[in-house]
Amino acid sequence: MTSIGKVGIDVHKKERPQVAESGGIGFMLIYIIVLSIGLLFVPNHLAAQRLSIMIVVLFLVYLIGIYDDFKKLSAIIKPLILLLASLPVFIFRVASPNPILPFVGATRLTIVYWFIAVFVVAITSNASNMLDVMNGVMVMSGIFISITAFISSFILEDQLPSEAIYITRFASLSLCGVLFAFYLFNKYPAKVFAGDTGSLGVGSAIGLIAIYGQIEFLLIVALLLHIMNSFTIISSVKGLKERSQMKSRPVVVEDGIIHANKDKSAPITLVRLLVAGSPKTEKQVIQSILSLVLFCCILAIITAFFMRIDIL
Amino acid sequence: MRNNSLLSVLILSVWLILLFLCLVIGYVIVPMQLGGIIGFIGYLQIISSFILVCLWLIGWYKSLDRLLYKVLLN
Repeated sequence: MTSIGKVGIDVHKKERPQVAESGGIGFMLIYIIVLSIGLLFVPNHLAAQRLSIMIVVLFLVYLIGIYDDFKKLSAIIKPLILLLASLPVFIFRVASPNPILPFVGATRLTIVYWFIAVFVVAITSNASNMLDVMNGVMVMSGIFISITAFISSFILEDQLPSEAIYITRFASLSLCGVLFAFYLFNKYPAKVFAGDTGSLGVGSAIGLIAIYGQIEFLLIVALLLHIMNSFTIISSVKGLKERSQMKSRPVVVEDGIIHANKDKSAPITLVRLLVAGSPKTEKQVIQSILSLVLFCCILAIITAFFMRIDIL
Repeated sequence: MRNNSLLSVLILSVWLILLFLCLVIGYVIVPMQLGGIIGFIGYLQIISSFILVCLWLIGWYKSLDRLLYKVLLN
């Protein structure tokens, strides 16, 4: 990427080094190949159908990510195209429209589920994209969430059918593997950025694991920080906007120390909230975000135990 | 550290609210369908309660968000 001039500036560092971009093109392609290999070991026909649709949707998101990395999509067009990419979920209805809720057990959302499912991929991929703000944050949070999904598949073994268990275990463990390999290059101080291909791909993979692994509620809890970050940004800038359209940056970097921007019109982001009142180094902010993601994942695992309870 | 703790409390409260709502759905809303009006009514109740919950959460979160922001910056 450096040789073709695809580099970005690491704005949170004092020296503002140039770092190779779009590392996600490599690891997401490997992930899609690994998922394709998984088709050889599926326990039943339904698992093969679910995994096939996952691969198709991920490949479409992968292409969108590459286009976004090189040509830049507008903030409004991007979610719309992601919605189109997730249409196979709606067209080929092989997911189970019975999401399990804690204490309630399996619900019946036979009509509305499919409309919600289409939005899941667009929401999770954008949420992951919005949290890809510092070295290794998006990648390590993806590792935490995929481990959470993997552990939960054992806790919910009696509640889930074999195809859902297979999808959750195989897709989450392989996601964890590729992300860990990439993390070695993306960790602080980063040598490669994941780019939009990586962040959109990881987000959509998590969304698809939630749908086809039948652990929707659980992954909502694991993604609480992502959802909050996206929500505060969208509500503070009043809509979906590109960075260039925002009047001021959420944080100001002085001598490698990150300060919250005091400008009222600056977007409210997670990083701005974390450094408000107490400026931090990039490393401290990364640790803070990851500790919060870990906290969400612990809550998700506790939720999995509550999902075993069926009071009805 | 203080900011981290505040955000953890915020996450924890959202999680507890979600669990509480599931309990309400399980103990109050779903049993209402007993007595013949099965299926569609119960299904509508779950959907409408979820929509109401989402709207309420958005309102609650927006006000809490503003409060949190003021506390952190001052």
